[in-house]
Amino acid sequence: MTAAWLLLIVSVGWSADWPTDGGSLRRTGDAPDARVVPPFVLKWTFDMKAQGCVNPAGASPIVVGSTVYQGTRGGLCGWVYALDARRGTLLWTYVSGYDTMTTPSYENGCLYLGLGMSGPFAGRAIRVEDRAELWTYGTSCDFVTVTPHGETAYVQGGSDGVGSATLYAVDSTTGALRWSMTDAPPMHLGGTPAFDNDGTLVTPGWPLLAIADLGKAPHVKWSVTYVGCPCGRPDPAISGDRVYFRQGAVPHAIIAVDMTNGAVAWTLTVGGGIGPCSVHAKRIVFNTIDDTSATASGYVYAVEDLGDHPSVVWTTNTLDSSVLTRRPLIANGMVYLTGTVNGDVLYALDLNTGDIVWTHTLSANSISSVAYANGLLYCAGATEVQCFGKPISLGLEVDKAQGNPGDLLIYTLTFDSYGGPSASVTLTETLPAGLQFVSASDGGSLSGSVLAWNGLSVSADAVRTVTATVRVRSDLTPGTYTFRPTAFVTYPGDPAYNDMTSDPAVTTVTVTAAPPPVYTGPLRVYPNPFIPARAVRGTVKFEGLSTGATVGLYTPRGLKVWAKGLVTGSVVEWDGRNEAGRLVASGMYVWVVEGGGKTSRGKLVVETGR
Amino acid sequence: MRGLMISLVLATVSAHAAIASSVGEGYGESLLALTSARQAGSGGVALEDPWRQGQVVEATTALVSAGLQWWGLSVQGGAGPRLRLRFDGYAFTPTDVTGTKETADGSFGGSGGAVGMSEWGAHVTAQLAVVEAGPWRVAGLGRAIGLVQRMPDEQSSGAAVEVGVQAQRVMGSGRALTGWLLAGPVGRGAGRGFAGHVVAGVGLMRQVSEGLLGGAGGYAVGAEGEALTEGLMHGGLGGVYWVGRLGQVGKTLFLRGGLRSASGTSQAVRPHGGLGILWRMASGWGVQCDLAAAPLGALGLAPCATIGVRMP
Repeated sequence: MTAAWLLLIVSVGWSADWPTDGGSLRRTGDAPDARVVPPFVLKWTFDMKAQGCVNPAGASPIVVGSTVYQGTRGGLCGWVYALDARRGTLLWTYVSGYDTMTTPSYENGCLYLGLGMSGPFAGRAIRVEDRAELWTYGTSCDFVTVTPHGETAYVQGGSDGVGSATLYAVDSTTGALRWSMTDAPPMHLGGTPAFDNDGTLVTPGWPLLAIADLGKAPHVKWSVTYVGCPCGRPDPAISGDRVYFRQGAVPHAIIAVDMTNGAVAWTLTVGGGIGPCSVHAKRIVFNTIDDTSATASGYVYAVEDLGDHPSVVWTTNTLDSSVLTRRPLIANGMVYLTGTVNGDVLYALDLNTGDIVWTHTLSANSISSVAYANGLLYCAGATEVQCFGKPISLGLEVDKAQGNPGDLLIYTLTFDSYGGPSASVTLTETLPAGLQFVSASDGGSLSGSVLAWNGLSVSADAVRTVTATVRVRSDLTPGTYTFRPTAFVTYPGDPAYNDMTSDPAVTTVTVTAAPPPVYTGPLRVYPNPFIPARAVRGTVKFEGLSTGATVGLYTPRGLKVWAKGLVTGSVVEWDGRNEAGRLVASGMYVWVVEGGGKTSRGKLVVETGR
Repeated sequence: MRGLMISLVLATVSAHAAIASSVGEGYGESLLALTSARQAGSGGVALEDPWRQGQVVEATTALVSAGLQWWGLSVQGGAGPRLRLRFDGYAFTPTDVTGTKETADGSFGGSGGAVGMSEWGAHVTAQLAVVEAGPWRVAGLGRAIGLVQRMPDEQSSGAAVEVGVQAQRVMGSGRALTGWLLAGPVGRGAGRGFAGHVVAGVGLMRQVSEGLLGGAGGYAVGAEGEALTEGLMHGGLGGVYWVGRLGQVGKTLFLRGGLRSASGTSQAVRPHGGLGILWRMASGWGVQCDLAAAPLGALGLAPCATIGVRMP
């Protein structure tokens, strides 16, 4: 490890959401999300083979919270591994008793599993908390997938012609059948269905079916027949009012269809085989093969949907034609996908330009699609699950999501070097206006407005935590402030990690500065009765006010006699004259003190002799 | 014809009730003008027609924030074939007024116990029919005001008289146009002397046989302005809709609303409104109830309730 690893600079900055004046008190703008840009290093590897059940057909990992769930497809054992997402340690293993398992799905604390390859076949739901089996629904179809959607789970299979292609809608809690839809071949179902915001389901089969009114009277809303069977699944992806899918047979194409009526909006034909597409906003990303080249090169396409026609934004030649079966992952401004022709390679492309930012050669064949969460990438090979990320990962937490002026905020920086090197860390933070330094652990100290820790060491495959305590200033201008503290690591001078930036650690804190009290002490209005000729300075005093408070005097019928706002000090005086400068008539008046959303009223007897 | 006139005048009164007036700064009088449904129009002058028979007794209370409450009692009735008299008395005795003291150097000197303050007042209004020719009706108006106000170090009283005229023209079946003009000194509260004022207004009423709910009904709209010698101008617009037939046996429901404004007080134009019911029985007796509310800005919403009994 180079000497440069001896110095890591970790900086923590509060985004510039703190108000600089009192004119714009509500600041809700967020700092732009810090972007995780590869290169990454291998953070950890989980050896499935050593555990006893492998994944040769490439089930993909899914990440939920701090846990990675990995199914084992095609390994003659249908297991689920639950792994710690940051460390890759095995949390538990679930043995289904079936011979294989497709990529599981997760919703509301349950995992939904598609089980069986050589039979029998079934969909199953288990509760993650205790791995209790909620239900198992047997089917006659192979390559079963289970997709939860609200109170219904959709069990389907039949892509390889085993049994009838059937879509079963079952209660997601009990597994009770609600309805089913079966079609004779050549209808195929494979992969997972897609849903639009109106709850319409699009089947991943041939023809492409949109099924509406899923809860009451499911019926086919529209269908689109395309050139496909039996050359591949459409793998539909929905964005807005469009569904995009691939036509797997010649002519190979991406087809855009209006969700409302099933009309084909446009068709983009490409030269070779085509893979599943992913959509981010109006940008569709997919893989193709240039069949005309001698090497059958693989290309990644990014296409913009312009309504009635597509526009190719960029194409990138990966020279890898094996990417067709895996859906690209769009995350954090990047496109991630895997291939096996040029070795087992994980590709990272810039979503905007198509530039290949990073590639990484993997150690195991038949790699899966990629999962991404919290700055970490996950993919599974035949025998291993691997995680990639920055050498040192940071986590930042603040003990309060909401605070008030005067509150103490304790934020905790946790940096681990799982898969990374040993290092000496310098951590700095510039305190923004509005926060006052109180204390810091591990020798952190304040110099000017910069809080720094020097020489913090973190060992390889270890974790370390430091904390800082700050106080929200008690004299904040009333308003609501949103902070997005962000921490990151840079590695200056190290050729191996030149300009590498850590995955950001971002959290949000909202501070609400309540309006100041109407008065700073007991509110006193004196003398009462008020006789101007006898009162000191000829005035009645409103004492104990805060800046911004206003005092108004009214007749009992609500007519304003006089009003004044407090600018400095804490006392406002009234000389008994109305706004026209005339001495008011004797009688009863009502004073009203307003400020900070609070109103106080009282009665004042005025005797002017008039 | 007489029944029609009664109806017209009652409707006009209701319309006036929806119109703002701000005569006087006596507390009870102010509250009365602001919130009372039946006396708010025309400077508190009762516009009941002099030809109308029967007597009415009403009790009113109005509540403003900070515990200021006003109580009133009125009695009115005919005194001969052409004269109608109305007496209004009220009491304004706010409680829970905490006194405070001041030291010689101008600082707070502690609490000083309760501060007593009260006001009593009375109006006597006469309405004399002077012309009744064809479609025209003209009445002379006169009003005497008396006020007594007591405070810890000040007690004062005062009285004044003002005069005016009211004219009405019947414009076909079920329609009438009424105008009124008042002038004279107006009480500015006991001990505060008097200011001159002129009040003028006009109101249009129409009785319809097919109202909004299918039965008989009607509406009236009006406008009133007041100019004081101090340079202040007050004014308002209002309207009332009623369900039922005025002046006849049965129930009549009134719904009204309006806007008022006052110059020189930094007051915005403010709405007010209310509803009332009058239940006339065949015996000639009747009961009435009226609820009104007026937003007073910083002082909040001031409700006012009036109940009354009509006698044959």
